[in-house]
Amino acid sequence: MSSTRNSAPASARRYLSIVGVLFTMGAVLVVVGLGVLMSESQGRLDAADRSIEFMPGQDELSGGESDGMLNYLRFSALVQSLTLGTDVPTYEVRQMDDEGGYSIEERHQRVVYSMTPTWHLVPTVVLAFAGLSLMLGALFIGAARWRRRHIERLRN
Amino acid sequence: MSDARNFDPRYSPEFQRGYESVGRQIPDDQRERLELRRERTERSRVAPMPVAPAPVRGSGDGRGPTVPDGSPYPADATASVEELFSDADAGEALDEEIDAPLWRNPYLITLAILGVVLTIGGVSLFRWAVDQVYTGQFTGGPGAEARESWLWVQVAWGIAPLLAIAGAFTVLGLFFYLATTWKPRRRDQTEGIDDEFDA
Repeated sequence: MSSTRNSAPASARRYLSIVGVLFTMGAVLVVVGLGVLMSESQGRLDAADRSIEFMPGQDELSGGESDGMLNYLRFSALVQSLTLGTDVPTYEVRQMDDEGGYSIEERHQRVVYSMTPTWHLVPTVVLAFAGLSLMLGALFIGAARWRRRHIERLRN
Repeated sequence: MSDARNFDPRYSPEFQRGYESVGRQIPDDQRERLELRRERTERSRVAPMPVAPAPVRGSGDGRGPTVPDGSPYPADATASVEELFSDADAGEALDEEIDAPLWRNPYLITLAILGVVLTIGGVSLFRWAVDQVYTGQFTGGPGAEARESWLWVQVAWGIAPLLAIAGAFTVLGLFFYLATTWKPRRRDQTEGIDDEFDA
């Protein structure tokens, strides 16, 4: 009888520590995964800024009003990379003739076989998702063992 | 009587508990364990009886038997909780008797709230991200505000679907958990105990 009563608080402490450790590990994974995701997003933004650059003098080709076109191209590059999961494409400005004609061509384009650009798995999110799953799993473990712990508490 | 089985000398041993024929005799230690187990089994039968304080009907002078008011059980069935739950069998019987309602489980409550919030939040977040992508503000200017906005749009685009999936699986997991822990109330057990004492 005494052994049963003495072992109950010990098992409760062990149970709490297991759930707590799992939950903490999941929370750490979520934080790290969010950091990875944000750094990847920041890198994509920087790459979109660098996707097209007008060389000195080329800006004059468009009459000095190239900001709107630049922003449109950067936006297109960002969305294309975001939805298809590819690298951010880059663009090159080429002067066609001496009269001010020019062309903008995509420097390289990767062919990616993917599903339609809807819900899809972003690789960098896997870490955060694993952490979230671990946290939810720890809560399920706690829920499954709560009844036994509740009964032990009543018995003591 | 030196026999450990303590047969009553007034009656024939063949008709008393613990009697074993010569061909089926077992060692003393094993017999004691069997008797102890049988005794525990008999004690666990009275474990589900009411243990909560009940109005007492008795002689009032402390000498007569005290029985819970209206209880059909004998006086020894109202023994103390310490005596009733002094071994493992009685503890298991108590586990079945103690009511641990699921709605008081804090983990289940947390999971239910998280499941709903994650599902609704994930869907809403993804809708917002899609709206931002296809009606984007990035073309409005490369300012710091637009960059910060697009940082969160990308984060939401990536994580929102998995938030919704995690929420949906959490809700489904809750249903499965409730299905596995659900037990119908067994009336036949209580009726069986009543019949045993009525006999």
